[in-house]
Amino acid sequence: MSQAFSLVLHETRELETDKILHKIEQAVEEFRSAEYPQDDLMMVVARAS
Amino acid sequence: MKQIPANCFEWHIFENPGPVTGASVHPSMRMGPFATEQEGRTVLETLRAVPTFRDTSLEMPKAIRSREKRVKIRLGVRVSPLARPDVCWDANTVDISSRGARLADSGDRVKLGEFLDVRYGPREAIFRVVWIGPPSMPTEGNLGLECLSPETNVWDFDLSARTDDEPLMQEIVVAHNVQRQLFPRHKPPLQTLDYSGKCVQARTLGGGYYDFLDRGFGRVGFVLADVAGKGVAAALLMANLQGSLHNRAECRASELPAILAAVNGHLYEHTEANRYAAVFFGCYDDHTRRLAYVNCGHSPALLLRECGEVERLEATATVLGLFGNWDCSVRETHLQTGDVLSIFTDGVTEATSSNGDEFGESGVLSCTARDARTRDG
Repeated sequence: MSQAFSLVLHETRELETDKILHKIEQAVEEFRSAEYPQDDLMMVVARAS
Repeated sequence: MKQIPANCFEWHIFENPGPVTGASVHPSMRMGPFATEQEGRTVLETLRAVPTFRDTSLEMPKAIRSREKRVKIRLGVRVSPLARPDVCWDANTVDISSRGARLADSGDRVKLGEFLDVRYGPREAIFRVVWIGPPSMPTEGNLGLECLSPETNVWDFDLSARTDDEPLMQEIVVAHNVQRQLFPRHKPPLQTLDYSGKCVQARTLGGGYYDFLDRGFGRVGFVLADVAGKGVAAALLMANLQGSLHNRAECRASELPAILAAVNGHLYEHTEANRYAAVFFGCYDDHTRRLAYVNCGHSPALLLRECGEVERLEATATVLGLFGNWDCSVRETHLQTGDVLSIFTDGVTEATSSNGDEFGESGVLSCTARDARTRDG
């Protein structure tokens, strides 16, 4: 595998875990109601390749 | 006579309806404080062009500055005009006080006197636009907002009794910036695992913490911690925990009990009895694809296998810092291509809807499932 292709592949993978985090955050924000106390949202997502 | 420094003055605009008070169509208006006379004069000229105030007398006396101080701080807010609920935008504060705020880059979106719903994190309050920075002035694009319910403390700095204490507020802001630096700024590269972390704090300071510890030789430590309590105390303990783990964290399964026992002892000795931290600590080895972990009273991490099965990485020990005698067991799991590991605080799963339902693990899994990832491109 060329270095350039490897780099592109790596960047693509990074985007996927970032995307999952964003999706969770967005889903929680849409789900939760301001009527209830709100806590920090702390998340780590890892994907095996 | 001792001269009063210029920065000890402020200006307000008062409406004096004159002898026809009873006939006035709106209550007497008071606006300010303005930090400089020039700023006040600019707003005054803007007001005089408004028909509502055309027939009233507007005065702008100079006064000794009250204890209500503005604090320069950039906070991200979401703004929506009450009369146009379908319109909203993100903006930043220039400065805030318990009675109002100045917003940047919003002047062309609103009208003078318009009511705005301003949301900061989970809190929101109604503000009225009291001035708009005119073109070619230093305040161009800025909005001056007056909070209609200052008692709601929309900025929520844990300073409900001291929001006028500028030095303390500035220290909190500095602490916030210091805390941000404690989160990882780079990710040690791994061949077989991609990963990301995120923290969305509900307050200016929080007790949440995640980290990626580079231990070399293809080993990375994944830490996610949730410190008991909120605000400054939790943030201090979070910093303490971060330092302890950075100083001690090797990344071999056999070393995890000793590392975490030492951290537990440190927290137990040096914090109040009701201070503790729930911690998930996983060590991933890029060569073997194995994740050794200790879950110290933390929410179970979820391992969503490529085939759709879910493995819950449950607690293997109690929380850190609460008991002098502490022990743990280390568990291991193997990550295969396509598996997705999610580690999260209970702030995610316990997020509650208006119906009283919790987001739950099912909410997390619905976001990490492959079909959801594929569906959303």
